[in-house]
Amino acid sequence: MSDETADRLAIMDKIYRYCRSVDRLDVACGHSVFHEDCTADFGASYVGTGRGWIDFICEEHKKFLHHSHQVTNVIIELDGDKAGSESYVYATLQRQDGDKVIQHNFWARYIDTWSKRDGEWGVDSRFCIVDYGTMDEVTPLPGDPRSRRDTTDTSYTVLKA
Amino acid sequence: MTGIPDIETLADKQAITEVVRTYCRAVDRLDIPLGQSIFHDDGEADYGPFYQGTGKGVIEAICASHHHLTSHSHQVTNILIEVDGDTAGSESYVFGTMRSEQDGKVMQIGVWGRYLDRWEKRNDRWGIVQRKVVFEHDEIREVTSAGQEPRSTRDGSDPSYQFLTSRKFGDPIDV
Repeated sequence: MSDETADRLAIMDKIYRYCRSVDRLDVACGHSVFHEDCTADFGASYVGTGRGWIDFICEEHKKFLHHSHQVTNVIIELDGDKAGSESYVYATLQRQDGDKVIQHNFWARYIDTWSKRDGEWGVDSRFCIVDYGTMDEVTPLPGDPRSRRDTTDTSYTVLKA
Repeated sequence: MTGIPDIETLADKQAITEVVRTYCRAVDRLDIPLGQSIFHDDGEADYGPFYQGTGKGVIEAICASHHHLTSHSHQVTNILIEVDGDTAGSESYVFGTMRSEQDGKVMQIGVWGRYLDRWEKRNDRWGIVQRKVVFEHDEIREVTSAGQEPRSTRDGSDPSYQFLTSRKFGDPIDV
């Protein structure tokens, strides 16, 4: 057991908290993932600061009904108080278009550089690459979604942050 | 979350992560005792309109309803865990796909959701005391099979039981 394992898990936790932030529209949670001077390059949709991206995307996501960002393969390379990572993500978003429901699917990667400052890991730069995507009309199944995009979501009763 | 967790917390998080994954294995293989082992005896489960009751009971209900399907795969991705001594909370994202046959058509259901769990460590074993499942969105559509040879089964003949050998399909688990 080493500090290296602890560093990896701390970075993983931040990667997941990014997803939690943009799915629950929790701006403060998203800001905590990026250092204050972090840059973010999301190609045509946004180039600017990491925290600015969170503000932008949480607003943009309101155009959708709901969304789920799921991280799968994560490779982390540590170098002391610095690190680099590549995280695969499969994101689905559904939106209303008249009487149709349209689903966007993205297969993408977050390419991040990290630094540990005062014991806390944060992203220094994020570069997002969308490998491909699709958009389809879908048939939603019946059911009342109990998922919320604010702090009334049940997850806030089991997770404090 | 701030700071770097200590070794004991890391071990607890790893143990909880494995239990979350065990649930998927249990409901995909229809291995009821395996699925029931993730809950404490007094564990509760809230699956919305589908099921409200005990943790042990929801495993029986899920495995019974899955019999009507031809195949399914529950895949957990993001897992956030907060450990506080012998209790913990977690959020696990899941993407589940399920297939059935209707009038000669192959229909596929996709479900994107989250398992929200409260945990307790009792006698050195982490188990769920309360689970609530929340779904983001879902869909159903007719699909065309790509023709993979189906070697996956939903009983002890599944090849995985030759690779994970610590117990046989359906064997009771003492907890």
